[in-house]
Amino acid sequence: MTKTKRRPTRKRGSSSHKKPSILWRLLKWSVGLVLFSGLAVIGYLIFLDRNITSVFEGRRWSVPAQVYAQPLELFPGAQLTSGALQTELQRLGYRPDADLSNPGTYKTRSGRLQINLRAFRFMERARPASIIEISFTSRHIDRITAKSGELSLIRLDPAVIGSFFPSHGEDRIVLAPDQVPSLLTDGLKSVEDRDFDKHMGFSVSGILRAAMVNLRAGKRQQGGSTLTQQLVKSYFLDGRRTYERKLQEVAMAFILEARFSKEDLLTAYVNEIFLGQNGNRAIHGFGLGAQFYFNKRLAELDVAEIATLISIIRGPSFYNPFRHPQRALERRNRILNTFRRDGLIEAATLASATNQPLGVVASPTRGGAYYPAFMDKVRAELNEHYDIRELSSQGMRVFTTIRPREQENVQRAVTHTLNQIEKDRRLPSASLQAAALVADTQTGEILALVGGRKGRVDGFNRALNAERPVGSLIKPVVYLAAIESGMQLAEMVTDEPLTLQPKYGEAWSPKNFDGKFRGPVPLIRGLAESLNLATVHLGQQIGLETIQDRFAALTQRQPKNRYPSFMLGAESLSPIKILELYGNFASGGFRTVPKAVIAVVDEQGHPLTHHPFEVIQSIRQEDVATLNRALEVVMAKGTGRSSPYAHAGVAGKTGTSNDNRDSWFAGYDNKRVSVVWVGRDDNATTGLTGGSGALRVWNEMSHYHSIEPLIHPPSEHLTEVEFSTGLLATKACADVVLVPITDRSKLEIKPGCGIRHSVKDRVKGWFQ
Amino acid sequence: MLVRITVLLVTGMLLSCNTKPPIPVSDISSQAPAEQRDESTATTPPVRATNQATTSLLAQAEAAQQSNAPDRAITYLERAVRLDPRNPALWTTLAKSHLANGNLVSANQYVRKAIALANDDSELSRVAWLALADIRDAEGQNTEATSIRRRYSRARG
Repeated sequence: MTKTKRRPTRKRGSSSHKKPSILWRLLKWSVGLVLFSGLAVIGYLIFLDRNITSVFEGRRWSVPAQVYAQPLELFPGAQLTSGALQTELQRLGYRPDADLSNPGTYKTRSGRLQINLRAFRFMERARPASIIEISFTSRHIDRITAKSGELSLIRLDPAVIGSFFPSHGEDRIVLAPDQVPSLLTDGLKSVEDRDFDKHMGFSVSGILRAAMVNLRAGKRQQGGSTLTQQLVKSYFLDGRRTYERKLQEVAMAFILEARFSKEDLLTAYVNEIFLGQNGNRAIHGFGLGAQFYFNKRLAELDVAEIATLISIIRGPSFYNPFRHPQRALERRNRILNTFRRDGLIEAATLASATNQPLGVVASPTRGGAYYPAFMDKVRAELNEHYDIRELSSQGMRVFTTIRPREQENVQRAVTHTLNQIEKDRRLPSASLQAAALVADTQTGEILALVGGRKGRVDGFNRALNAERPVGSLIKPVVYLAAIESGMQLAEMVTDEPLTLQPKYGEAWSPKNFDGKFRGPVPLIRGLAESLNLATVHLGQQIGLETIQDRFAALTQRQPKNRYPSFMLGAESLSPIKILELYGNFASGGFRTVPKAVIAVVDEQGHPLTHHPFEVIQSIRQEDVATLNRALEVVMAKGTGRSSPYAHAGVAGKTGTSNDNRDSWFAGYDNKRVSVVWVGRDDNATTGLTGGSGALRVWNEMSHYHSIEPLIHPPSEHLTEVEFSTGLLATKACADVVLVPITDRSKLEIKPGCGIRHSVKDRVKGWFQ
Repeated sequence: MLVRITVLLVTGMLLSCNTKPPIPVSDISSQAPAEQRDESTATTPPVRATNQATTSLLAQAEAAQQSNAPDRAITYLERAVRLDPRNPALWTTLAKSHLANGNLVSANQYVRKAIALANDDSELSRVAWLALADIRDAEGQNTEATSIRRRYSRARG
């Protein structure tokens, strides 16, 4: 009661007492409130300013390291036709243009090819954009001329084959303001934010306009966000849509506008904005967007392509040009009309641009060259020197050895041959898998690396990681050890059954592939026909330990199998290890370590690491020459003879593991050393031998490039011996092979060939 | 001066190399015929279509070396080797650049490569051996260096 009584009194009393000052009090309160809110807003702005300005000022986007392929070298005499070069140019995103108006264009004129070459910062120097003209003979480049005169050598810009984006997935190419075409910046303003040049970060009229549109449409159609707000959203905020967040966004945009120039903000926007998703890789910025969607540099995009990129901003998944081409096309054309409305383009340009197809690359993974299997090797080599955080953030540039043309050919050969084999042998479709590698014989640089039958799938890398029994691929090590012990290829070894009883474990009785045995055969035949019994007899004679020591020295890997079955390839190795092993032979006796990275430079172009060729002498020259000749005979007369290249001057060896689970081939000419594996991921039998599986893949690989025949030792060191008996003979009286023989006096003569030992040989023979 | 002489020498050798074109195979056909080759023919070195190109790279390498940029010189030389990987003269020059740069491991490897590739060509081989003598000196193996020099300098006369 007391209370109720008192309150009216007080109320009354106060109202009667201060009645004239109510307004005053209200005013005071309001002013206080306004002051307080003003202070709070200012405080908040100062707080935000402190937080975001320094971040934005010192902004360094994590710029993932860019990885480049080997550039194509052009020089008079290079084996390259005009057509092949045009294919290369198209692969790099060059386009035909009768005016050669921009770098990245080319045209043909009366058999000559004119190219407006792009500028590129190579590892040792920057090359400005330039126009060159190339004339051809039927198969070669004839002359290259530039403004400055005739050129002896010039290279195309290399393909970008990947980047090391960080675990959050943001990949981008950062551009400077002068690299951004004005149509893009004007177009962005025209489509996204017409008041950009005038507003202070937010646009009241823009918000009202959006509200009107939304009201009329009955749903949210326009966001009314300025470019600055969009930038803030992408750069500082998460994706939640709350009023609090909206206010924060406006405040932050206001601060950025107060602190930075319009050009700064626009460039930041161009580099920041999200333009699409490809697996776990997020495409950020227009620089990468241009590459991802069009395989071009941003500066090379035409009007329609710029409009397409702008159209994506509003909904990278909704307007995805790969998945919804019609929707993307319609929006692009609306944007082109906006360009025209705002006077950015002529009416004629509008007409031709709207008639243009979308023109995006064939598939998301075709945005430039994409070779995930090779990238695995690059990553493995870089991991020895760099932290993944450095690679994903510091804008390094990595120059590698891959040659895209070679890579595409090898991949095509793998895919095509596996399809063909499955068809021919009625194997279940897609049951076979494969790996293939090609390296330069002298430098060890990997030119192509295929990790499976689908090249663009980033999956299990069989070339690097599938360790499989290598079968007869190991035999050259046994024969090398024999040659090094002083044996000649015409010397005899027994091809007869044997049983080896180790100290511990089961007895082992190897067999030949056909279950037969041939008695005494010359070494050359034992290797060429891949005779297991002859090889084991020979290995027993040389000693397993000696053979395994040689294996370890040639591959830098200790054998795991310490039993004689090692000599027949009961040892699991990855294709890249086999490449390393055969690199010793192909190089002419040097352990030539396969490598993928040439050099790494920092963002400014300063060298960080250089990865020199590694060529360590490992085999005496005479010995490796003898082995190479023997492996050439394998192709000409032995297990490689089904190849159309059997007589083209190549050396090689097939391999087949037990029950035909693994089919292998390793081979080389003067220039390239290659390894192919064919098998199944579940390790089931394929029914394929090395000759009917992997060799077929290699055959097709070899169709795509020229064979450069092996160099033989001078002919005076070569001797004709009968292939089946090892007797001295001639072409006229026997089936002979030419092999290096250091001591003819040791050899017997085939009767009826009319050969006699020279006096020198006979004298030598007396002293044996 | 020494570098210049080397370059001139190497250039001369490049231009005098014996030539035989590699067997051309179609870029697209998958039906290319078997390439037959007479088993008894000893092959001569392949065509050096890259002569002019490698010569210009050697000149650039020399310029880089003279402007005290050995890393850049090595990059040029490696590019030359990539164009013509079986050319002993290029490997010798590359070895010398690595020697100048203090990288004796690579210098050693490359000069041995040059010797192996020079095979029976006495002039190319001699130049490579003399480079090896310099490397041996740098490694402190002066006796061996002297003996190599004695042997290969004499061959000139």
